[in-house]
Amino acid sequence: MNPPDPGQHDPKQEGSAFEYVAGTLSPEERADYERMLDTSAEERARVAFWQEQLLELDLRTPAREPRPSSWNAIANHIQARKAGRAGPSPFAWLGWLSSALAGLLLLAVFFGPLKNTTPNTDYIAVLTDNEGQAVLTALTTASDSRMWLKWEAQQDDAAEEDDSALQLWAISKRDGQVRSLAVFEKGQQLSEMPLNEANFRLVSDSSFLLLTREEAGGSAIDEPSDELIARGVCVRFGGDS
Amino acid sequence: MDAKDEELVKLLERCALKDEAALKQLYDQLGPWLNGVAFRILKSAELSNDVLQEAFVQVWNNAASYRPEKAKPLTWICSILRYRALDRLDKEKKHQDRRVEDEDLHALDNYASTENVEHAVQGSEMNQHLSDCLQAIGDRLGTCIKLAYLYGYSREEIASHFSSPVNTVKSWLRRGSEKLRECLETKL
Repeated sequence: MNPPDPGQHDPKQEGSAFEYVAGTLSPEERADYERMLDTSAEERARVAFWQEQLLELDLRTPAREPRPSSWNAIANHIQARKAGRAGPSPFAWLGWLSSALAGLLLLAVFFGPLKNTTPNTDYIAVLTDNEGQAVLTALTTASDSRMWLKWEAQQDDAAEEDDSALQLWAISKRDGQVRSLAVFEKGQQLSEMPLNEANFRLVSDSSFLLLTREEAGGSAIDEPSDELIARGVCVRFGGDS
Repeated sequence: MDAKDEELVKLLERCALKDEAALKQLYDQLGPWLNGVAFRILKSAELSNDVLQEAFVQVWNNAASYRPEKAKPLTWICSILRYRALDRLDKEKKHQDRRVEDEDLHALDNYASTENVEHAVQGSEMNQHLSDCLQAIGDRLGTCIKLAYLYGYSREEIASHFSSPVNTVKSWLRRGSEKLRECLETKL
């Protein structure tokens, strides 16, 4: 909301921030800039400045009544995600958190023997299905740039008749965007995988991880499908660094 | 933070607790305006409604990550919608040859002053300062910025409209933003 510190004025970066908000960066430039946003509070401040200032133009835009079906579509979407959870309590989200905390305890059991091989565990997410059953536990270790995966259940039931894949996504705390972390082809249940720097940042910046079922090869539109398999809060866990 | 913002922050806090009635209140208050913003960029009732739905689902999913000290609630919500709309526009552009439309050029005047302002959202006096600064930086730079921000026109599309090289438009956008920032900061 405040202007960026004039002492940090950098015309090139100012221009990139402006074009990011205006939407004129090329897809490649935008991807590069988003990677920078993941790590730079200064860049996020620049973007926030322009978003706040240019909002004034949006405020002058005439309202346009949405279709009557739009709210129902939104309500159906969020109900579908809530379906099967523990009742209609407005605090149902605590189920996700309690699952994650339970997962932290379980880790001591499941991964305890691996302590020497999973040093500097940084982030963990216990992904549970709509009934609160753990499906996948994911841990990252900064020291060796890996993600460790513990699959709690086979996920091939619905995939037996067609070619589908599971895809792991991270929901950014910063901008709310959902970004892909990995695609697991049918029957592929990796126990670990390398994480490049960009993916490590995605995890460290994420509020939740999602696991969805997608077509073989992963989502063609780079967005999660409605077939949510599991979801889990991503929390910082231990870490020596 | 004014009373309107405080009310929106409270609604987002309730959304973070998965209170669907709060999301409905947000939708009732902001849905028509946000749909107007999406329509302005996408020029399609079908696409703007799609994007509106996606944006509200994203607001619902990410309400817990909203930080009032980082952004005003309206800015946060509108940014979610705008980036969704721009993403959708990118996908649609792959199937069409888009040119700057006369209708958009004529409508730019509506954004140049506080006359004919849509008061549906804020319901209070609008900030004249941005309009003043957009005028102060010069017609061409101001037009470039508005074509990009308001309608999602790319550098290439703006370059085609002005019969200028794409790099020239990039430089106009950057120079324009620098001048605009300088002007805005004088009154912050």
